[in-house]
Amino acid sequence: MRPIPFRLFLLYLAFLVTLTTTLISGVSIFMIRYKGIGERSRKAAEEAVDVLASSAEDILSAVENSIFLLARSSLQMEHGAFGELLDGSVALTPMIRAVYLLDERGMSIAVGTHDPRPSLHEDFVGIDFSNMPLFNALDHDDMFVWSDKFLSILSGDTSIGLGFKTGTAVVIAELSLDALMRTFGSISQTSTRVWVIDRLGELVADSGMSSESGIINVRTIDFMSKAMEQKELDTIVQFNGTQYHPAWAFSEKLGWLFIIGVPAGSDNILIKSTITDLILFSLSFIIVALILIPILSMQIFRDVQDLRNLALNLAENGEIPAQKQNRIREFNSIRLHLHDMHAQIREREDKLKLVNQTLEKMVDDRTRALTDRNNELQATLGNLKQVQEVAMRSEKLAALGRLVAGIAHELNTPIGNTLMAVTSIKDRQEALEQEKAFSDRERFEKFTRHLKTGLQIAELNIQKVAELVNGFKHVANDQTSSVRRTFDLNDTIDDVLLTLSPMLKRSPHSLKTRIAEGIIMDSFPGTIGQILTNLITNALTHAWDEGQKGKILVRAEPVIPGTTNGDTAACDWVRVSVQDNGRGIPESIGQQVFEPFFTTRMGKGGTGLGLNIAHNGARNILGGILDFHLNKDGGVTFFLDMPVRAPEL
Amino acid sequence: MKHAFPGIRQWTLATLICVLAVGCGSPRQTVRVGFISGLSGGNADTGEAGRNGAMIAVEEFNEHNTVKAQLIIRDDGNDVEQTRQAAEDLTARKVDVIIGAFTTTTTEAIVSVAGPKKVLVLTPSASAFHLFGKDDELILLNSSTKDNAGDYAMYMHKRAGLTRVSIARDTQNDAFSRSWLTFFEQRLSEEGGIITAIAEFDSRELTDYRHLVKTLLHDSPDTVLFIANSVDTARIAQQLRKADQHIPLFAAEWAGTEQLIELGGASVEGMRLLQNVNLFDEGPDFVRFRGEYYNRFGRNPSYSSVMAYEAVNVVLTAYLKKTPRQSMKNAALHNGPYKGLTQMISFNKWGDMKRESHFVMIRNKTFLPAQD
Repeated sequence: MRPIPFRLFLLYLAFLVTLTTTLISGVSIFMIRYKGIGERSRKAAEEAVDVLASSAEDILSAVENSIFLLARSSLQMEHGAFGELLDGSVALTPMIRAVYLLDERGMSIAVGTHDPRPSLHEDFVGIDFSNMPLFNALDHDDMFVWSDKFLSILSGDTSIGLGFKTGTAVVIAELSLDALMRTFGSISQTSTRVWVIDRLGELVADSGMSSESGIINVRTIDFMSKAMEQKELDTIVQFNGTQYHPAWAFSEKLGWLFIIGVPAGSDNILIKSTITDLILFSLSFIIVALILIPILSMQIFRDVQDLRNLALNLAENGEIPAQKQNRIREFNSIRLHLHDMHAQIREREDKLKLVNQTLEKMVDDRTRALTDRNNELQATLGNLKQVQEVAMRSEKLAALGRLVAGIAHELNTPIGNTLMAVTSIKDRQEALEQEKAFSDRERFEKFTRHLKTGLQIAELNIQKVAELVNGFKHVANDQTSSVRRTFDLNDTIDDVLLTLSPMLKRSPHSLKTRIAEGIIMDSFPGTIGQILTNLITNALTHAWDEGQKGKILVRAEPVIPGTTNGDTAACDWVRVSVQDNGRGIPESIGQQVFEPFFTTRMGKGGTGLGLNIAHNGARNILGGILDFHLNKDGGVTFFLDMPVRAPEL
Repeated sequence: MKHAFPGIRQWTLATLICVLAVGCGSPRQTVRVGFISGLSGGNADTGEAGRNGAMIAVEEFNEHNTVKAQLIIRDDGNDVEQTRQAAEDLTARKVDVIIGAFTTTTTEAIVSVAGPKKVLVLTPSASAFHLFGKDDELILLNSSTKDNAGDYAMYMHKRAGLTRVSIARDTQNDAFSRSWLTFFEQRLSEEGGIITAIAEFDSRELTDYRHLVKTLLHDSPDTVLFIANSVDTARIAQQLRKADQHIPLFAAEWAGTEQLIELGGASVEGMRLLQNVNLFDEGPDFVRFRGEYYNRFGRNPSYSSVMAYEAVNVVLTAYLKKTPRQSMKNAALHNGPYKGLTQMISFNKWGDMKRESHFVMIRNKTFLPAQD
């Protein structure tokens, strides 16, 4: 969130507070007043409609009185005088559009209008009103009857009529809808709406909209229909988009239904003025707040600025400006705390400096000690390397010794045989020389056969010697020169086992091989031989106790890397394994066997480097893995997994 | 990939289809029917009876359909300018159709406003011949003045044996009365009859009845014919009977309302006129309508009640059958014929029709079929 200036924050705060306050108070005031206004309006409508109905009856009673007098007068006055009376009466009563004096048959005798023509004009006399519903409704003497809306033959417009019959005279007054509306409108308050409905459901007067009078049949309007059926109305009704609190009253005298609607909701003038008041009040409150708060908050702003400057000085220069008193207690407290904080920081800084110096000295001492220790370690590492080289040389020498011992042992028999044959021949030859000549043919032939046999023995043994020497030469060459070449794995293993045969013969253990045929490799036979020699020698040395007869199985087969079983010949990896049935390797030792200088025969001729060298050779030269697992039925199997084609070094 | 719930895409599609269906396709849930008639002034009887018929039609429709109709009523005050204002108001309120008016002059005023806005107008009773045979936004449910006036001329000559005709013509609804007179005169002349006098009047200015009556009776006519509304016909008939108790009277079909009898009294007894609606029909539809009308409004329906009822039924039936791209006019023209209260209603390609004609006579304060 982006920080805002303090002054703006104060303005926001002021605006929010004033807005919330005005909103809550405004809504509360509105809700309370709205309910009250609604109730008052309903009550006002009920009171007003009763007043309206009775007032309308009173006002229209004046019309009734007029035609009553006219009717009675008509019986006593002669025509001419009555005509003048009629004209004068109509002229004085604007609400009345016309008054007809009819005979018993409904024929007009005189018609008073606002027209210039007098009431006894020939146009007005002799008109037949006998089919007029109002005339026909006057079936009793001295009875006033108010009509429903009807079309006037005189004006050609919709009108309301009042009829009165006395003796032979019938007087009918015709009132215009507009005049009625004006009259009812004058009775009711300007803010209320008045509807007057006749018996047929026609709207004869509407104070709100004059054009609606005579247009609407109220059966299309729900609340008016209900009122016609004298049912209770809803609290609020709607008419032409305006809401009203309605109330009705029925005038038995007129046969009309009066409905008054006091505007409701936002159409009500009191609610409108309440809303206007609230809006004006809220606006003034907000405007005043927005003007005054920045002025009033100036001092707070200055104080905050002072505190800010104080903190800034402390942070940048560490200087404490002269103290000023604030009018706000909390600000003074902050100022005091800042000073305290400043003093404490100074104190802590001094302490920190001291601790820092001590620490620096300690670090120097430790650094020196570490440098010395490092030098010692470097020297020890150099010595260790030398020792390792010496050990490796001695390991190689030991291997060479075993080779030489093997050679000597193997050569001993054929050379001894050869010597024995040659010595035998020499003895015979010397014996023959002492005889000077063969005494007989038989002796010569016997000597010749003996010589031939001796030479054959010597030849065979010399050939044997030559083969042995050749084999030893291969092994010696491979192991000393680390030459990469293509070779048959079977042959290499055979050569290695040959070199080891003297050692095996001297031991009580037996060795068997199971070598897959035809594994041609492009790799380092010397390294393979060295690893195999090491594994077999290790088995012979460590697997069994004195006096035990162990078995060693050397296997070679194609394999998929990481699997324990050999697989198809399609693989380009080979596994050479040396399995014994000895005591195995304790779990506590595990992979330590491959660590340099690890030996269980320290001081008994073991250097602890054999398996380490083999392990490194398998990984670094052959590109394979040397590992082992314990057999289920005892003993351990070391296996060398390697690619048929060794990686380029 | 299967979804455990209907995918958002499916819901969106469904919503879109609904919105499009509501927005573009199916009819609105409320159809607004504008209604203009003379509810004040001299035509208030025709206008009010028409309004009552329309109200019953709308209420019946709303009772039987989920789509609701709203009737918006306006008074033309029998005045051209007020009619135009009423039409402007209704078109501003986006009515789907206007029913009205009941005179030719006011109907023309409505069409002059609604026509350019492509709002269909159905006039229940306007009949001036020049309104017929036009490709406009007006559909007429009445026979033309040519048909009706011709029928009058034929009737007078052939059945009543009256050849010398004196005529009182209202000029307030000049378009109608002039057209009516033209075709009457033409046909009467063809039949060998003559017009003895034509007294023209405007009821708003008429005060000198004596002169009018004198003109009408001047040349010894066989009969007097009124081309005027019921109030003016009754008013002049009252004056005329003072001068001549016996001369046969005829009134154009326009005057044929209950008010003619109420206002005319004995002076209109024996008067004959043509009704384009058979008010003596005993078919179940009309009997039901007549009963309903009487119960509601306390008097019998007039021709304008029946025509307005039928006009509303025509537009509401057409609205329900209207296809999304169809105009109201095409829907009204192509979904007929419609069942009327007393006859089938079918329009030609211009939206015109011919009604049956029945001559009636006022006897004993009521309309009865004419005997001759």
